[in-house]
Amino acid sequence: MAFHLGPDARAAGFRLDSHDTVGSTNAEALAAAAAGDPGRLWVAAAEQTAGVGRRGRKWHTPAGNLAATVFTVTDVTPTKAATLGFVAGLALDQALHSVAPALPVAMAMDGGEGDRCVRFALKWPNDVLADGAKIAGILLQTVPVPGDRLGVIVGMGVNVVTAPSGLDRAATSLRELGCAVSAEALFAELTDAWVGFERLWDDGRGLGVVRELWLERASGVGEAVAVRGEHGVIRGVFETIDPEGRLVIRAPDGALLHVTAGEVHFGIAATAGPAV
Amino acid sequence: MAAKSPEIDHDLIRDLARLLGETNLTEIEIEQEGLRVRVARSPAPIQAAAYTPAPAAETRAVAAPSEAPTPASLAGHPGVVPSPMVGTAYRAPDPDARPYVEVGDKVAEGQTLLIVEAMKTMNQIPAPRAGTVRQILFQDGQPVEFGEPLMIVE
Repeated sequence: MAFHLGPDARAAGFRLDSHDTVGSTNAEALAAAAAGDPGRLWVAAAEQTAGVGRRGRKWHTPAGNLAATVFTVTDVTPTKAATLGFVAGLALDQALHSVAPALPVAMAMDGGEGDRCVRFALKWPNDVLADGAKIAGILLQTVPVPGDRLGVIVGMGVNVVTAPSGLDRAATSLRELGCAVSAEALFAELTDAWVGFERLWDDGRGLGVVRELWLERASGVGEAVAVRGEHGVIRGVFETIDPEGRLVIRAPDGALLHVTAGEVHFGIAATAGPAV
Repeated sequence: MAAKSPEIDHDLIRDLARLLGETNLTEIEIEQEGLRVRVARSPAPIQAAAYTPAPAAETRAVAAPSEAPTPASLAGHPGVVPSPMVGTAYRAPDPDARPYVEVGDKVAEGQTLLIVEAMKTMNQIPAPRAGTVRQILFQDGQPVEFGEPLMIVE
């Protein structure tokens, strides 16, 4: 198993720390940050034994899937750095489209004559869906680094060959979708896509353009949405994301709610009773 | 001058302020029949402002429905560690892990004291100076505001 950076990533000066198996690529990147790494570092692995999601949730990366983390150093505030999650979503979307340009999908209802393509979509703030099922997740961490600068660790996990089962929501993998790409090929595309979108982001100065591109690929805009926060559930219509990247919900009474945190549910799940 | 407008529905503002507290949102904006009302939460007590399209505007404070705010006096404490952002504060890297620090711990400058999560980004908050953790001013998982005192380290 050997990962390689794409040509654009190499030309842009990125370096690679490649592993067959690792505890967690985010943990490796945090350790590199603590050891004074200057950034522009990718950590990649085809298997994680201690992968993490949000708030200690396990993120399963069995052999053959992709776990990749990019470590970058910036001078922006942590709040602005969080918008690198949108950059990661766009990079994943482009990389997935590169390796799966026109995936045919069997139509379960009528016996499989369909030839439509898989539709990848971005779910606020940082998941990637394939036909509504989660195929990739993103976890960001920030840590102060010397020189009063900010280290940003952007972890991305992609279900290449297997998707976890037994979750409370649908998940899928590239293999399940009929795409036989390897984690290595996907990774090379991802590193090149990252170069382009991070350049566009431009330390947050290009966030307006990034926001527009993200919204074009967003799942659920104009649809019913429910967000479970610390103190209850907010329901309404997913209106947009605001210039700071917050989810904007139009409540039934017309109020516009700007949301920074919470579990987001779209469609049927958003309207099916209080226990979201 | 602030003419009192019959269109301003104080019950509506109270409802929005209550919703703000219940939902842990920082801001709610509502637009109805030419009237726009924005209720926002700042680090200090909650304020509500009502706007009409005309220059005349009325501003009034609404009773804060949030939990007791951190004593403002601590904000000026020389050992204060303020929150750098609006978010959710956590004492440990994950729910099963030990807290980064306890009261009485000696910490080095730059050592991680806590995490503030915002936009699903986990931000490690470092000790601004070496010293001893004197007070921890938040509960694990508590919503925090920009500038809110989180710890006293001196």
